[in-house]
Amino acid sequence: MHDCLPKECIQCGECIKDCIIVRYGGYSLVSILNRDSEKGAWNCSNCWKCIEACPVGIDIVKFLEKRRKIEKPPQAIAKGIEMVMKKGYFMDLVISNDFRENVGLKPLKFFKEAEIELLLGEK
Amino acid sequence: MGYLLYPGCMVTHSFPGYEVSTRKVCEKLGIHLEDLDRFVCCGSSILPCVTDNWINFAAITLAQAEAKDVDILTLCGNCTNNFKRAVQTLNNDGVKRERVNKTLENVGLSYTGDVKIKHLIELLYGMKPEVKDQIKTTVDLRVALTVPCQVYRPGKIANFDTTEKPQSMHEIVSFSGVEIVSYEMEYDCCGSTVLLSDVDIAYEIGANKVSNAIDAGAQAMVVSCGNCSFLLDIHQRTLLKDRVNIGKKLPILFLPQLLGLSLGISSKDLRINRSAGVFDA
Repeated sequence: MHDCLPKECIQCGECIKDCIIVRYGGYSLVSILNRDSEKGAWNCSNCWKCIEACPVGIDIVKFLEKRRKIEKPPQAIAKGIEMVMKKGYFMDLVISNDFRENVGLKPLKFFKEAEIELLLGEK
Repeated sequence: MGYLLYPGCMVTHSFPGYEVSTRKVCEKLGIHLEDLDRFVCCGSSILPCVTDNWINFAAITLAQAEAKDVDILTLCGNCTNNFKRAVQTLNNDGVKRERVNKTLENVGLSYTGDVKIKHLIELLYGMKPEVKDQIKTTVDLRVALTVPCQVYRPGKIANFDTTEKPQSMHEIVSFSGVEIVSYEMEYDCCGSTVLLSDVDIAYEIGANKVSNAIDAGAQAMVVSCGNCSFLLDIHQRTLLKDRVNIGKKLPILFLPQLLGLSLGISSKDLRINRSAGVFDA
């Protein structure tokens, strides 16, 4: 598991100091970097204080993406992923068009599922 | 020059007041807004973790902005970050840009240019004198701010203000004449994204942030991101339920709602509808 940690990481712990998830007693992405945990990639709040703290300039955004591909997402996120990959939005926005009219906003148009498939299809 | 307004999934789904008030403020300030022909998610912080083709989603909106000869105005931290990342990648990687455009051909779009991405704070910050000029009245209120993380970090993507304790949101808010109160968690992430993976931690962070602000004397919390509002507003009752010493709700206001009041727009037009007793219409 720790083989795919960035080799530039010097285990200084600066990223851990700024991580709000760790501060509140959880395991997060930086816990994996510091070898405190093998899981926690989906516990990141994307505040990116860790990137700013890192003295060796590790691309923690890329590291997040890499680890999340390995670790199974929580159920709530998995549902969102299913929707966005099928419909092109994370929560049902078709129903939003009803109240958009009520508040004076124009309705949104979306892409067809076949078009979403083309956009996300592997080439 | 104008802007393609991209509200994002969260704001569209749950916070029409943020979009409405943004449009009202832009109208008042003479900022021309274009509408999306078709909406697709920017990718958020999730899609890039699932497929490298997330960039096609982002490119759809970039292409629409380019076709209309405008830049993009975002309302949410996530969208800002994703679009800025996409622009950097597509500008620097010709091979990837070509591949993306091949895919975009399927929906009749292409992206060849250099669209600028501005979150609302960045847009307003870039026209401070014009904003100040249009202020009609001061708002008598003590507010705390929740600074949207991804508008400022990572610095290499955001390229705006500073990454640590940025002040641009404070400056814009101060034009409305409110008193901004400092509080311990002012520059801490609200934790909203973690609601979907560790709800206890998210609620703990949110509860501390809200009660911190109340203890510091805030009468309202100003936010400028749909994500922040999701936790701090919609979930506020739940996250405060164990904090029995806090007897009231802290109204959450979107930045354009507060600014709009000082520009002379009515609270009804700004859809400030859950802050009864805090504002006069």
